[in-house]
Amino acid sequence: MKYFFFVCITIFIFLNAYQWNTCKHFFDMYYFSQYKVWLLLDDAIHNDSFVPFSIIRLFHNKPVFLLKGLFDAGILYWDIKFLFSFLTPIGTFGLAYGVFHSIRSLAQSKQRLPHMFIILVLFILPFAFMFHFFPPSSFYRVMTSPSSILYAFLYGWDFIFYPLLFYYHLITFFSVFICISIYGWSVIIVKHPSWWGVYSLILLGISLLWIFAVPSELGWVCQL
Amino acid sequence: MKLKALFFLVCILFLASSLRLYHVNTLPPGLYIDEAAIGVNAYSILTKGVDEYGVKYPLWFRSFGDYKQPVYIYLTSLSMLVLGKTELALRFPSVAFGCLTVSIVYLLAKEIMLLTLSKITIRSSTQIALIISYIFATSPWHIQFSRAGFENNVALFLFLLGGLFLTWAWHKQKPIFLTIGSFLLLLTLYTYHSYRITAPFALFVLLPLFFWKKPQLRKFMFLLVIFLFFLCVPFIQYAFSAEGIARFSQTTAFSTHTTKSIPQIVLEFILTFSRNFISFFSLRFLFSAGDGIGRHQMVGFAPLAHWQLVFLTPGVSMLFAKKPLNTYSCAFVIFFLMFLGVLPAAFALPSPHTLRSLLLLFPFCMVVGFGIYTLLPYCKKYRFLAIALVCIITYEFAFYTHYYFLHYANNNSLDWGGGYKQTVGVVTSLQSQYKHIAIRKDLGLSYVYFRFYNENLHPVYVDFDWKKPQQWNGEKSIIITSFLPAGDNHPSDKLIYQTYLPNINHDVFAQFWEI
Repeated sequence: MKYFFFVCITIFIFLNAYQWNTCKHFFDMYYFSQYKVWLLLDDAIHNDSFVPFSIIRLFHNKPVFLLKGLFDAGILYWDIKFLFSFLTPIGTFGLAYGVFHSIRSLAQSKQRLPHMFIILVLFILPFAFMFHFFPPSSFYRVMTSPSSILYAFLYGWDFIFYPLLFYYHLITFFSVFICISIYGWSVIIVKHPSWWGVYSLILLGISLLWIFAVPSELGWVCQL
Repeated sequence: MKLKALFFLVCILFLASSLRLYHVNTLPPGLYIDEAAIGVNAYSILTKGVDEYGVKYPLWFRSFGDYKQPVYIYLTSLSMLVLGKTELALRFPSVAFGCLTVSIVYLLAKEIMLLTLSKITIRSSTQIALIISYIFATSPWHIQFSRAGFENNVALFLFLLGGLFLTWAWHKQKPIFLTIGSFLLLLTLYTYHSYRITAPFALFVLLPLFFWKKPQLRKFMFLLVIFLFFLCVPFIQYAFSAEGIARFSQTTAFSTHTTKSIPQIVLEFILTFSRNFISFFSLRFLFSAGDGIGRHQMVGFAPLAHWQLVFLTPGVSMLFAKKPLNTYSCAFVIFFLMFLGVLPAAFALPSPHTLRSLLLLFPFCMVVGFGIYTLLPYCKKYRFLAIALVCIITYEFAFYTHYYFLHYANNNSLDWGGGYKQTVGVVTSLQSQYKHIAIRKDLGLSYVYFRFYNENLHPVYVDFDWKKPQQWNGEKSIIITSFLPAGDNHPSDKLIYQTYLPNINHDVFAQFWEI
């Protein structure tokens, strides 16, 4: 019976993820843009009138602003609205439990390698997505200066095969998240045989309701 | 141990007070419109005993289409009695209660831990409570609202103090603590709009719990409920009146269309409420961008500090660990407080909203505090990592204070009614030279600022197509407008003065035209 429910949950998560085929590309805020970071840095420095130069350099420098820019873009891939949209609440709960179980196992030094692999993949994947993938809007901004022509040449093939490449990245990205979500549920079913059934039914109910909200949530994330 | 804990608590309170009091009369730069309205009403109550509309000692203060709760306004009157009609007097209740909230957070966190964690020692609970109070004291979320006249800040203090008395009532089973705690919770109804939902819901859950689990208090509870009901009567009358519904209509997240069927309405309610509810736990809202409103946080800063994200997972892990502390009860209390913090805000727009969900800060501080405490034993083993983390925490705190005290006034002056004070000052200096002063409506609700900064001025508020009346011919008059670029329809050819915003571009805020 529990394996039947497990299969139902898996199919449900995959079916919901399929709704993302209407997404053409993510909005710009999901990609890291160093131009945006430099603009923010420039704006910050100009506000520092009559401030000692050492203080300005301490607080307004490229490493700090780069880290902040990376953090602001990366955190969007872990945003609950984003996860609920493509994994639904039931899938997000599985993902959260999978990550939680991996971190706890690492802390208890149990089966370190597989859990470390899970954490590393989840950490690196959003960065790979937001650095590697090159949306058309950014492409045209890059073409304005001669020094960026080489950059555009290297990534020009992204523009040519843009739609296919986006779906390829989307499937890769989501597959990893979905697999870890399913892994999380498999751990729940084994470790908590007494309560998993009730919680999965409640979450399944909430997820069914959430599907009605997905079309409007997708509009906040990507161009449809 | 007690003296050591007291010493650290005093240090934390000193830090909290410094962060909240330093230049509080000039930063935030100016008064936002609700603050000015509170100031006008408070001064009017102090001097004449009526509000700005002439109602004697009202329970609800009419203001810009809705009604304000009375507690903060009466507190501001008391503050003005001592400090005069100044920005400091206006903000002082919020600052003072904000500083006191830090000590209440320490006491309440400690009481919650002692009540719900059966295996915790007093020493450990004291250490964790000190960590939680430090996080709360240095939290951008609380600092932002403690430094201005926000009613929710006082309401938060009253709610947490009420919670503290209720924990004492639970522990010591004394009716006086239960009475004071319930009274303070009910007082929040009259302090800020959000608590119209939070306080009754909390009492609705807690009082039956007391009745069920504390048989010694059962007989007393009948009297208490009657007492609380009588305290609620004015609020109930107001809540269902046109005035009470006005605020709800302004901010509700639900469509007021009546043409939809009941299943459609129910589905819309569930989806809208759950979407709004979830938005408050969005990592982007908590750690990256906040709610986007300039008065509520600085651009690029979030309600919580970035470093706190690291400690969320260990904190949650500790809450669900059976060993060594058996923390399920504590987890229930924390998640209940989170639910209470988000519940009223989820009914309203915009969502998420840092001001309406200010109560959410306390349980988040507790989770982060637990996370820090969980990782403390590993500090010796991973010494360099611990030192790096402390450096990051210190740097981020310094980064925030640098931005707040040096950048915020320049970047966000418009959010704080920037320009109005200078405009009123210029009009005051010109009033002896000009018989008539007109203000065009593109300067928004400036009348509140005129009434606060100089109530002896009586300018005329005019529409965009206003023309100088004939009876003003031969008398020197000025009209004040917002910035009109060259080529626009200017009221006259004689521009005599301009006031500027303190931002980097020195944008023109108001122009004075002689007509």
